[in-house]
Amino acid sequence: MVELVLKVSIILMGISMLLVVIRFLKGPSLPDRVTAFDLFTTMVIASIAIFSLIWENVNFLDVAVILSLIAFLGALSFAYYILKRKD
Amino acid sequence: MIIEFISAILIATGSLFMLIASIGILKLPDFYTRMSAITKASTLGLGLVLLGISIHFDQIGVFAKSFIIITFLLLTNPIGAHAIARAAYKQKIKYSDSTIIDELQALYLKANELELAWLNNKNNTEIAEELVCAIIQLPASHGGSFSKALDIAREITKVDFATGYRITGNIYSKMGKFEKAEKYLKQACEACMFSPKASFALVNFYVENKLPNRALNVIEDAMKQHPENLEFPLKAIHIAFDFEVSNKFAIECCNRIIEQSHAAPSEYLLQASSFKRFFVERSMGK
Repeated sequence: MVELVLKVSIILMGISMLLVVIRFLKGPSLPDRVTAFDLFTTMVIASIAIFSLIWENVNFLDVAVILSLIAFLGALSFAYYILKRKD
Repeated sequence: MIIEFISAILIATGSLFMLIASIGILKLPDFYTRMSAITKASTLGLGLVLLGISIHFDQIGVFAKSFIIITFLLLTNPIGAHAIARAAYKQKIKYSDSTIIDELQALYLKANELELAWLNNKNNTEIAEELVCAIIQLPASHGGSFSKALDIAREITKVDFATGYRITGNIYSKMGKFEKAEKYLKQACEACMFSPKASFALVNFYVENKLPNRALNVIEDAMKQHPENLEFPLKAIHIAFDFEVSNKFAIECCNRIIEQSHAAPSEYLLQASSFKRFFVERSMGK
């Protein structure tokens, strides 16, 4: 029962990532791509958490912590770049 | 068994919210709506997944780690979204066609128009006052600044002493400088012998800073100068009612309105008589 639910959640995650990638490719503007990337990172964090449950390995959660830090810094630096960009 | 069940439900709900977020980013019409939709949904989704994980493992270390991630997420996700949306607004990313209101742009255009009108006719203090209001409300990126507002107020002071001081006082009150604001507003009152506009500016300033007694003192002085103006006693009654102070002065104000019943609108009379009953009862109760 629980295994089935976990499999379904992983599949849902995969579908969502696919949709986000479509938006990332379509654009149309740079901020759209940045937000899509931000959402993608959040989904990767969630997937890592679910995988750590499937493989019964707690250590994967460290990766999730680091990734959430990096995602925030990435979003802020992209925002700064969009602000300063001249086109 | 039941713990595993609960954690499975939480994880499934979390990934469903993630799916909703991704559908939102694909289907919504413009950048700003996508932004607002995905930040909320993804924050809730990741939070639920991590909660499910920590319930399943039931170890203190896992709880700590997911607590760190959730707290960090709740702090950083809104900040990041705000930063990107702000940058996008500055780069003039297009809205969807159904967007009808852009308050910041409207205020910016209004401020520009007022500034032109003011530069053509520097003696018109009303236009200058509206311009100062607009400049105070605008963010710094769209030309709003306190020092510019103060410069305009200084120009107004050259034309009309009392109005310039009142506007300067209002600007300082917005900046949070209590003493300077009080000084300028008081000078404005004294310069024009407690005209209604200046006195009400000072009274409202005191009410905002929760100093009802000083506000009532100002009204008392203004009533000596303008005994025929009935808005002062009415304002005093409202202040005394809101802050529960000074029954005696409030009753006096009610009497004054009732005495001048020939000049007072019926609405004032009604309010004065009902408030008077209330104040009398309250002073008896004490």
